[in-house]
Amino acid sequence: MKRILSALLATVVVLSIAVVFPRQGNQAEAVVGDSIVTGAAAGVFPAGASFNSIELAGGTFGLGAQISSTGAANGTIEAQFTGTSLIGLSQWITINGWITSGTSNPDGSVTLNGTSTLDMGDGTPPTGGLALVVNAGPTGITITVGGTTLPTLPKSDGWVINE
Amino acid sequence: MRQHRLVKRITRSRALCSIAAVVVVAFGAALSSSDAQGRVDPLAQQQAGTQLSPDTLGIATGGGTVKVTAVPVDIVASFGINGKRPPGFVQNGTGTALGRINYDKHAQVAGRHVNVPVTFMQVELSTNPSPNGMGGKAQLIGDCTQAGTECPSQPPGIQSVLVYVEDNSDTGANDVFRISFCTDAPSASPATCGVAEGGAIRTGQIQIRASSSGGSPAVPTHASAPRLLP
Repeated sequence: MKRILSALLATVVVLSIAVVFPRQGNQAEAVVGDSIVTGAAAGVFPAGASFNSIELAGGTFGLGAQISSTGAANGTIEAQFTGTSLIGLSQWITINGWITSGTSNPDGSVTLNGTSTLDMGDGTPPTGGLALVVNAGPTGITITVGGTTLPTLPKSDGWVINE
Repeated sequence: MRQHRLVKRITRSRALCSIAAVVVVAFGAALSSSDAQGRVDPLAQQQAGTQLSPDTLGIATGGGTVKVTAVPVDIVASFGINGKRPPGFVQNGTGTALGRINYDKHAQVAGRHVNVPVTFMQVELSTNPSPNGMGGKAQLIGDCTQAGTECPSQPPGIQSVLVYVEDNSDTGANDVFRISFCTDAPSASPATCGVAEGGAIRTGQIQIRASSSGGSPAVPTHASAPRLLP
């Protein structure tokens, strides 16, 4: 009888401790995340590319984001596109984005989501709080701001590394 | 009678020993291997370092442009950075890190590309972080000696890249990016580095936070992009 009680007591102790102090070894792995994407590059738009009536010529971008295995992400992106307005004036369009989620794609690119600020560079105040989707990879970058997709900027200089 | 008492005492002490053994085994089973080896769980420990430290846990990300002083005209350069602590990071003063530094000067000048993995990092978390839990300084060290990297070839003997960044606001205002090239082997504190390029960022943003869980619950929705001049 005593042996049975001892065995039961031992089982209860083991279960209690396991419940009170659950194993947490997976937390560090979640922090490390699955991938990081880093880039600093430039490119030239193909003829005919335009956005909001601005004829786009070229652009540059800088990107740093870390994507965790849960799909959550942290980081920023900044892109500047140069172009010409309808009346022939040079115009610089700037997009600043906060990355809050993302995924790595099988083709080596990443899709990043977040919130952005768009400055059309025409003297009007920048517009904030716009939904942002970025697809960035070794061949270039495509940005969607507030539901409008800008032409893809092919990368002709610099690096975009997804690792 | 005396023998009976002795047997009882032995039985009781055996039972106590058994319970103690069970408790020890239960703790061992519940404890993670990382804890048992003294590793650091960045989520559980988010200390705010008051100065750049190779032991402080943190994450640095950033993207933007910076002006580089040059002759005859200044140059605009884009940058992208990532730095984080590796799995099983041990706070032993070496400051190991993972990540990457990309830097691209937008002009036809020598050594205009930098593409290096981050191997060491020092972090200082702000004691007065923003509502998004961010702010601070970081020093990322990239390794030019690894295969597939790209670093300036002049001056000769460059082995590492030192990037210093500051996160002073959630909008990117007053954030800082500086880059210099060092002839000593990568370490948390390179000593023989040249004059730094950059300074206050022109556009973009630096983000420094304690961990990846320090997300962006309130991303800036107000205008933040500065006016630009060609």
